[in-house]
Amino acid sequence: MITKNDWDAALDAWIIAERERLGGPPTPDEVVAYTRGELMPAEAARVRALLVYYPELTELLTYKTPAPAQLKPKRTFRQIMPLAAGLLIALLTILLVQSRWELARAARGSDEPYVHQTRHVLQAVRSRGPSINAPVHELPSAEERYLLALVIEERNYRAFRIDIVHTSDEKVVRTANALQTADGTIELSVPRHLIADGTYRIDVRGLERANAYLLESFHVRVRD
Amino acid sequence: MNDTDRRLEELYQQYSKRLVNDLVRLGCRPQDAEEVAQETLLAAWKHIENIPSGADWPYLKVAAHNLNLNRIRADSALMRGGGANVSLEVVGVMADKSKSVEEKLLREEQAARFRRDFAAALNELAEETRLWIAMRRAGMTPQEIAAKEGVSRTAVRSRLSRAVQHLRERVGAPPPGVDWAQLTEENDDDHKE
Repeated sequence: MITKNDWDAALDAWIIAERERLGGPPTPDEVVAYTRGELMPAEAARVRALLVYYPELTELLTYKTPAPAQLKPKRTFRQIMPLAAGLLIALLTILLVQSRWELARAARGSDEPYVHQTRHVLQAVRSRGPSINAPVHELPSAEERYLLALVIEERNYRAFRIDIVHTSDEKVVRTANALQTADGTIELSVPRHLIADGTYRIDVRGLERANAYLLESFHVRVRD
Repeated sequence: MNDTDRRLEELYQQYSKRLVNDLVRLGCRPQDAEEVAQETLLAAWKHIENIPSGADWPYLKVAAHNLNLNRIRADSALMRGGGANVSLEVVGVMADKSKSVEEKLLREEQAARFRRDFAAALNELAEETRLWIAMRRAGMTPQEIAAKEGVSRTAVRSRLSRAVQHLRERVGAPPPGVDWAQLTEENDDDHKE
């Protein structure tokens, strides 16, 4: 039976496809030119459609850049003086954030994977069958991400599925069709915001045809 | 102080808070919103000569929107690659235990077929109508669409109504709760501020 969700999902999928067909989000320059009426009709129609298909930008659809005559007159010297004092502070703030950003970006963009910088790596080696009294691994709460490295000796499955299940509310974070690297490892980078404080069960399943076989199940705990 | 510095100061004073609020409203976490807003102003500083007077807000808003998209993409790329070889998704609560694998596969196939038919039916509509449907999906009322497009509310309602009828003929009647396909009178007042 086709449900409300199917209708909504079908329209959302169509909108996403249209965004891609039209070349992704418009650039600031394109939108400015659109608001000034400077684009050729076909280009204006493309930008207009993109402003609709990105609803967060739709408010700009009817934005009209004022003509030069309507612009505010230049500030007088007396008006500029109070701003001058504030400028230094503003510039310093921006520079500080810039350096933080560049550091973060450098870390993310370097060849060395960002997650490898973490000090804590949980490594679970598969044992035979699901563990019953397996120890609970403690994860530090201060990290932004956790790298979960699963060494799976089993090679008979086409792929694996990993569910991270919150033990109290059963909320699941899932990766489907995970593939092993050449050495048999599956590496999973889990952002901290996906797993709040609490205890989680991690289920590893081997996928074969339409079946999923539970191979390993263990617990991790995130504390304050 | 030169003109560039003065413009930057004006942009900073006038828009930094507005940008942060805008990003938070779109679901950005406050600390991320602060960073994206700062990066936007930095980008504006570097290209300040390209921002025509009076077009500050559209320029900054779109720049912030695109930087935020890049940030989200980088985060998900990091999730997929950069030391991890698989991606994650939140799939909600384990609810589907009752269904067999065959049932789930059939269901997925049915949904995929519906998406294809739906897209084909939508593509047969006029471009303007498709835009209005997307606006309805974003939560705009026919009244608001009419105001944005400079046409009458009746014109919007009538064309949307024909579009829904077209979809109904092609893919079946929309089930109850598909808000954007409902065009009752009350609907016009639902989203008014």
